[in-house]
Amino acid sequence: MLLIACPYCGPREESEFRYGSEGVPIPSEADDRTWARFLYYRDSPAGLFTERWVHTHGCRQWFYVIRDTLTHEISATGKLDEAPR
Amino acid sequence: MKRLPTGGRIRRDRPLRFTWDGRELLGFEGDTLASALLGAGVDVVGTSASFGRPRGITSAGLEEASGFAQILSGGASEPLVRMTGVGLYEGLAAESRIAKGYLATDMDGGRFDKRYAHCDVLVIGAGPAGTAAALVASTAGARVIMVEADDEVGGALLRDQELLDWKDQSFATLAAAPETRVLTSATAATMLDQNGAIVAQRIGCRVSPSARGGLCEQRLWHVRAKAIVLSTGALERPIVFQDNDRPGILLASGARAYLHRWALAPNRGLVFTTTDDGYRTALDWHAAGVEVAGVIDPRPHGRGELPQKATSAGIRVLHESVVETTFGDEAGRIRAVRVRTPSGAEEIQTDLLAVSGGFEPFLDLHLQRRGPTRYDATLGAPVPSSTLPRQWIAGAANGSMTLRDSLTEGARAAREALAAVGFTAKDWTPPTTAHIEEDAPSFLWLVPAPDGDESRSFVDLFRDGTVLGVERAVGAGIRHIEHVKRYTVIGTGVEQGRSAKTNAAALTARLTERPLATVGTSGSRPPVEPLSFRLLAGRATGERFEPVRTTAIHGAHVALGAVFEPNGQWLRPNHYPRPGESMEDAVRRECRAARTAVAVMDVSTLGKIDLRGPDAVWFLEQLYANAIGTLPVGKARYSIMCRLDGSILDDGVVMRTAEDRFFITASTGHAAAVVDWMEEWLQTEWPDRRVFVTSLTEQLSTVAIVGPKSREVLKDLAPDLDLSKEAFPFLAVRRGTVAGISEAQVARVSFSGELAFEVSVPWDLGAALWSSLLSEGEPFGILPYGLEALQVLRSEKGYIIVGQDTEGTTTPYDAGLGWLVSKEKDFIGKRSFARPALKAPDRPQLVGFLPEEPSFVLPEGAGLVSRVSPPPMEIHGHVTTSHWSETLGRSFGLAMVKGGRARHGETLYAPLEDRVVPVTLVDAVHYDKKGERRDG
Amino acid sequence: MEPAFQNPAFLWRNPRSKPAYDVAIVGGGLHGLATAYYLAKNHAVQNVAVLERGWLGNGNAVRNTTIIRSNYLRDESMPLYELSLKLWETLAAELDYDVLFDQRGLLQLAHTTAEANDARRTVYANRLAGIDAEWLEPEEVKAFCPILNISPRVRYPVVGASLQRRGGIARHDLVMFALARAASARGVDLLQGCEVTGFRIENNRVQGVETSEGTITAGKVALAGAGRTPLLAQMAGFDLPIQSTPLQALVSDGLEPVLNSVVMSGLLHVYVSQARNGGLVMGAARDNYVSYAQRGSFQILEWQIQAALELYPIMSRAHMLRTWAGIVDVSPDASPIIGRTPVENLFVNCGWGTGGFKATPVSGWVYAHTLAHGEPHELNAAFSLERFETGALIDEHGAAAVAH
Repeated sequence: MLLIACPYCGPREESEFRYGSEGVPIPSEADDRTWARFLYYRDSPAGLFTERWVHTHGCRQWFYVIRDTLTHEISATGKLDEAPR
Repeated sequence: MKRLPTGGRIRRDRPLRFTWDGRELLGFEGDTLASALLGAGVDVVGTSASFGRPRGITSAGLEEASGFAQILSGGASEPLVRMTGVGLYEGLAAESRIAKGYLATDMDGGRFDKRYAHCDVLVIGAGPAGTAAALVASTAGARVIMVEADDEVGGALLRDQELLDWKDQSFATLAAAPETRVLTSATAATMLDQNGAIVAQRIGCRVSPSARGGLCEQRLWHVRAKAIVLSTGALERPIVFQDNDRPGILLASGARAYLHRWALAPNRGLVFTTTDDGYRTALDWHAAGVEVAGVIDPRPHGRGELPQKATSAGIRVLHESVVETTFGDEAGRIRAVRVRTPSGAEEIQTDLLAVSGGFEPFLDLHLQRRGPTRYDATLGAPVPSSTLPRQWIAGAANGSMTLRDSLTEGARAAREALAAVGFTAKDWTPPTTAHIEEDAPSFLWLVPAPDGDESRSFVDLFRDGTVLGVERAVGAGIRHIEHVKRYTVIGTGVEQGRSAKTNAAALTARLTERPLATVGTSGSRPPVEPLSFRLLAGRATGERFEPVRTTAIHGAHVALGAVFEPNGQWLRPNHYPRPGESMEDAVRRECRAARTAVAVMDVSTLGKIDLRGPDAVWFLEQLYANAIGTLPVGKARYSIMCRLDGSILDDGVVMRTAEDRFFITASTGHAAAVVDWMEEWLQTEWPDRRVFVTSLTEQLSTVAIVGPKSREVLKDLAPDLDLSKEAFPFLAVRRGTVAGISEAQVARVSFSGELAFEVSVPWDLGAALWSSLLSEGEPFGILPYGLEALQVLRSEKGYIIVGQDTEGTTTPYDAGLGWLVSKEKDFIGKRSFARPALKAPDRPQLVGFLPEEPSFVLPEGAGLVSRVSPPPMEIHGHVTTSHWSETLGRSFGLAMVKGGRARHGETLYAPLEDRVVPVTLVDAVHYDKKGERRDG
Repeated sequence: MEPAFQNPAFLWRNPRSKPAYDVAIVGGGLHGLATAYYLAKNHAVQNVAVLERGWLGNGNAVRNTTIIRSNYLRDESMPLYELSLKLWETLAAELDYDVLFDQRGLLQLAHTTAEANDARRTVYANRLAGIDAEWLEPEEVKAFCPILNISPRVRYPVVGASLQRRGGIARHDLVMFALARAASARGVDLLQGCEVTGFRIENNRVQGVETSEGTITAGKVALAGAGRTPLLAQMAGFDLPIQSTPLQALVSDGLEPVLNSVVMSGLLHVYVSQARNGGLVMGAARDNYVSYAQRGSFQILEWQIQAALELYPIMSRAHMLRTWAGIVDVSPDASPIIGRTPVENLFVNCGWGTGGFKATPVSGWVYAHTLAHGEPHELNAAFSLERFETGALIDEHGAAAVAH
């Protein structure tokens, strides 16, 4: 059970949240290859990962989390518009 | 062993009766089941897994390798419980089953609870290091939780009889601190990321069944701590030698614990130790008047104080000597050993051989989250090389084996932890401890069998894994300790291989001629100690397994005799059988009412969403495949929402209640997902758009009233609404008073294909609405109908159910809904339609079918082929919906068939278990193709 | 007999790496070992190395819940998994190693009408494809699995189940030993402690790999890294539609036999079997976050055990003895990706997600064919990376409704 600091509500147990993986904006123009990458390809790094979670059983807001996928240490969470590029 | 006349921490004034394999025995309050058995002269507690050799208790704690039993006196019979951890109580009943247990019964009378706790500092282990840490943390004002697996606090202090007064004072201080909680009989079992811990606390299982009352047997704690101090101590390891598994061979520290805590001692004890610590057992026996046959020490004479004390006390010490084999009596219990000394072999008689192969830090909790370790050559064991964030390790667990170091480390750990969580430690002085000069331990690991027969030199008692097995593994080409483990199953027992792993690694290192440090030991998987399923389930069983969601009208359904069907977490009426009526008959009756008279259905579980804002239209145009902007205020439109890949996410009805306000329905099963979907897009892709989404699913009850007479029934209940076809056409939405409920919403939408009105009122008024409709409709023959009848009605109309007629890849075109897909605008999913596979002509498409035999109802799911042959047959499609139609007077259904729309009129075959049923493919709409009844 | 003596006296050679091989397989798990074995056996390609960064099988091979079945749904899937089951049926004899393969029957429970319909659809599809499958009513399910609670009064009563009688289990680590032994005996070099640190690629063609033990030249390089595949792909300069997440499992203490079949419940998210040594082997849904930590979250375990007690009340006092997790490589359609990559002579076999164990033999079989011929076998032709571009996904989420 991870403990995730919702930027709106504070630290809460993982079971209150739903995972959103890497956020990828919709490409405006896309050939089949680009479209396929958008639909199906998401990052799966070993190490730090900037991912999204939503506080489903709380404030229902999406936010970003920077988590190490090898140790599960969460180094930062924050509002979506403050997510590092 | 025998019980000494005095001493120990047992209550001799409180004898307890317990049963072992049906025999009634006596112990005392304060005994464990293990100590009680030993005290009652039961030295053989079972036979081993593979060889059937007699085994006895091997320790006084977590290292126990043989002392497991089936406990019969809990709420249910429980297998493989560690006897050194079972507190004795009156009426305890246990059965000898050391290798395999059994499950006895469905009925478990035990109660198990869960608790959730948060603290600043969690201290795991109440030995000297933990006690120091808890004191420092507690006196600084932090909220402290301390957990100790043993029934008593003190750890090594109890075993070694040290600082007992200080311990008592310390825990009195801790007990008086309002923000400090000390839990005993509480094992920290699993560590969670971000400093959580799962702790299993034994409560009711420590007292008589008759005294248990309402106590839960065990309680599972979920603890979140800002900082954790691991002061879990060190465990002693055995030495491997021939016949090292006889009852009466124990760990030296265990023997000492039995002496001091439970007043148990041998007639004539012998110590075999590679450490100075082992001498304590000999000295303490001696001080208690127990005959000590000697101390066997493979090391040469050294400068250690304890060996000198032993010699001064007249205890015989044999240096540079080893035990090379043992002898047993007729029951298999140890009666003598053969010692190999520099001057030859000697047989020494003993009934308890206390063995110390060294101590190793107990680091399971640190290792669970891959806490790093390094090999300590002095201890011959891994010690932590660093800690996980906001964790500290102190004392023997940290490789600091002296009492003095444990105390100072525990205090330091607490100080650092406090600083990290924002508290300031107060000054604290450790109690005075003597410094004892100790020689370094040696690493013997194993003694070669004198006759070369390594098949009785046990590396793992629980698994009957011997030196011979490890040799075979290495001979097979194995080099890695994990392969040794899997090849020999050494280390996979209930005790997690605690007393086996290091010796196995050392042996492997020796056989492969590598240093132990490079071999390592196999990893540690949680939990530290087994957790019963019931404990993990807690109260979430039976009715509490998962919440039941019911509508406000549920009571009426129950009263009407409804048979319910789970729909997600909801319970929905499936049909309303009259006494003695079959489901089929009930459904026919309900369908007949809906098509020829009037019927009502509780559709409150449908998702209901209020969506409004300046960008509401814009947003809905993105989400839905059909046009939304053209929807007039006061009208509804059947709408399809797609995923990005073009598949149908959900269907529903979008109603425009104002220029920028919409009332949207979603299917019951996808209601939450649709709201989630909307919120995700708005927050992540279009945060600048002003759209407000509110779920109203549980704010409104909705009843559908359907049938040619529905208008007449509703008329008198809604006097201020003009329900005529002209004023209130199909797909219109109005508000008005219905059944005395003001501001009811009435929508002419129809899933049944009949004239129908869906009435929505505030949730709590649903039952009143329902009851009004039923009584108003009585003269018209109104009936309630459920899911099953709805299935028939909607499928007669070719209306799909998303997830039944469609699956995860079905597009609107596949489902015959291409007509509503907008050609003008872009929307979520549109881009995907252009992909080659989504344009393929042989995609499964929705069709209707009619079985050749009009009275035969095909099973849903039946596969359809064009040619019948021995398998394999090419599958052309499958039946998604199949019913008897009261309206059509025959069976019918819907199917997804490859390229189905171009195949109307074709005959396919459904090979079933016992027959092949031909079917003709037809249009999906079987009834009222023009929709005249719906439009009425 | 001591357990060690139930295994053969010789397993494998521990050779030093050669400078070059015809095929280098990256990943010494079950699929990598099976591939090596079939390359040697079916295609007489023996100049093969299996490169394993740790010890053979340390990934999902020793972490799965050992379920074997072929009752998938899609036209493309059924023949693939059914060939696997057929290969399982002769594997122990062929490898001369008792891997405790036990076709004790596999039940998939249905708790709602919708689940029952989905289950029946698969049953019918299986039978049309020549795969054994039956639908059982609750009383029949109970007769097959006596400890199952079919009471209508529980929260989600059992309304029936599909049964594949030929489904069952095997002992995963013994399968690993068996395949490794057979491959080694046929000349395949098993290189443990050999970690691939880079790929040598020239003009978009792979030449070999850089490893912790030096450079190895290879005519073909075959990725078989399961959950670590995204990392390998990244190293080789291309992407895959794969995300790696934890999949947890647990085993109980050793108990006298109570469960005679493998039982899976999609709705309740729990599946369980009882191993030969008496331990109940149980698993459930994936943890849904990217992770390479080989551990998951505790609530997944709590929930599945709650579910297990609903179905099998007799398990009340069984103990959770050990828990662990594998890293499962999840593809968008819950179907594997087997075939070429954008790099010439670099091949990939991944995306088996939660269902790789059962496919061990066929995965090796078709991958070996693909490697030997440079072209997919007819059974893995549809499982190409290209399908994500054309949209021809092979959606087995229903079959993978609960991880297995």
